[in-house]
Amino acid sequence: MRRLPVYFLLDTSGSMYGEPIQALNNALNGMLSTLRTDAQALDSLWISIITFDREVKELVPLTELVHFQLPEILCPQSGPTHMGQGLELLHGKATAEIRKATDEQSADWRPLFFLFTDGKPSDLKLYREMIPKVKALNFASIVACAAGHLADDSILKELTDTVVHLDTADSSTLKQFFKWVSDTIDQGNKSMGTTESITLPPPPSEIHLII
Amino acid sequence: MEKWEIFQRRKSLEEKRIVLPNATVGKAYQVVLDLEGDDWNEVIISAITGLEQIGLTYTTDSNTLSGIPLESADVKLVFHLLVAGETMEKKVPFAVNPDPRSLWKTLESDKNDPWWKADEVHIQQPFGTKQFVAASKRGRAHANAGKFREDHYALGNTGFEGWNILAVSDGAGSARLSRLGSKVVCETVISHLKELPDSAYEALEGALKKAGNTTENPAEHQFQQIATTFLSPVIQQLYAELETLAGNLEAELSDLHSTLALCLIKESEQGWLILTFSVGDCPIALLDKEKNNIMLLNWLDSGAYGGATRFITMPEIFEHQDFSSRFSARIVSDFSYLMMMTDGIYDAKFETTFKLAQPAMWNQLIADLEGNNPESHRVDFKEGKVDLGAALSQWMDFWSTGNHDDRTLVIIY
Repeated sequence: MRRLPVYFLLDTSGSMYGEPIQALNNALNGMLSTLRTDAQALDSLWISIITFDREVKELVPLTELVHFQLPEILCPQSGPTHMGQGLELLHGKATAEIRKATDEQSADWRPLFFLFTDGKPSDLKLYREMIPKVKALNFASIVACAAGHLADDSILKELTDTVVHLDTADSSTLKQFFKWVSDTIDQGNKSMGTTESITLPPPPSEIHLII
Repeated sequence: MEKWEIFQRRKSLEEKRIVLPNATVGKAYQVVLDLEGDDWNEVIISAITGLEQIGLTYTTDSNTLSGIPLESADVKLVFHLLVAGETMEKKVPFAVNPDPRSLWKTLESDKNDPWWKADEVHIQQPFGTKQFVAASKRGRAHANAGKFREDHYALGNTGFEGWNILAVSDGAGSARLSRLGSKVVCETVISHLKELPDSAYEALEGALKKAGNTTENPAEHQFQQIATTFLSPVIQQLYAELETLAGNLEAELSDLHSTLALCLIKESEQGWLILTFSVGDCPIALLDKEKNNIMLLNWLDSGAYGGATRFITMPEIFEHQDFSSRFSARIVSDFSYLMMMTDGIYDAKFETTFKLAQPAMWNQLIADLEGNNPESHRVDFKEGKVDLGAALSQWMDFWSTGNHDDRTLVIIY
């Protein structure tokens, strides 16, 4: 069976405390509910969730949607945003988990990677070091989402061409965003050129694509 | 238990995460709740509400949650607990996945679309001393979204010279006009080959037979040169026309991304003369008369990831040093099956390109085609039924988890 691995790297630093983290939990649960009714996703989707604040944590290892369970995502009241360390863990996990074509096994679909943050990396040096390594994994798409006015679009632009900006990290905006994420995931299991990026569905009005 | 103890216990139970594995509609579900450990001492689950509509029951004696879920759900079950005689409620999330097979819809493709094509086509006809059958069918992934079939096949012949031309193409799922691309690729290459003068085919046949008689061993290189010389102008012309077409449609060439597997075949006194060319991941395979050996007539463009391949619409194909290795020619005395297919078939039936080279896998596929499958769909090659094309098309409905791409299979037998 051919898997579509999707990695989520989520900012759980202090600034997410309170309503934003609640909204993130709700939106992710909503997305999972939607995906569970999607024939294609139910057959092939595998999800991994990694969170980063002061600590970097693999919240849910790569798990097929059928068995996937989302624990409540918590965040500390304050502290740094170790996005670089997050990328480092993601890189390590993805390298080990993603199945490339060999004689014995069929390859995964090209994986997708979604990064969500409301700030900017406190460990900028490591963040920049990790960028070429993460890009070398040849994701079908890397989508970075910056929420709120403190998020830095230009730093995310270094990681990927696809940066979207949300004005706020409130419940309805996040819901819209993760709906769009599930539409994007729908594009994931298609044949394409070996290095081309997938075509993203048009985002809803709450989501601004940063050019 | 003291009051403060009960209070403590309730608090820790409130915080405790109870994880129930997800269930699936129609699949028997049985989970024994693990109530071991200090937290559960003197705690009883007296009832669970929310189970009735799902179709599960809870047995208190054995702490077992079981049954066959009737419908999908994403709910919070309410656990009624007795903690040293005092009641408390705890909400536990529970998901019942739908039966994946029940989710697939068959939505009609838009017949008013200028590039519409039939969701399903098939054909059968005599093929000299052999038979020919082919079918192409829209995959569940496309049917589910009311999208179009992007695979294509076409068949032609040169008339007097007696060459048959088979083309199979898989339009890229990521390209917006690939249903048109695959059609144009197949039809254009066939029409150009038909336009070639008889003299070109006579020269080709002469060259092949000469190479076949050569004492040079192996003659593969010579054969490949013959195929390249003969076919590459046609392939170049095809590319140029695709470029023009994209221009006329005000589209990008990449909007037409499609693979191409091409096979020219003629029965002669010396045996079967076979030329091939391919870009992409559609195998062309020849099973020998005794079904002991499989010969792959082309190599496949497949990347490290699934679905990643190359297309005839990519200019770099032509510049790459491996371009001439995309052509092949040979003479074989006889064969049992010649098959061409898109990845919708081989991903499901072979999984890896390595297995494509295993004769046992091909014999398994033939047995599968002949009825050794859960649906008991039969493509009876031996009896030569009149509706073999329809039978092949029906066989193509086989279920294979995660493999829902368009399916195309072309067989000479």
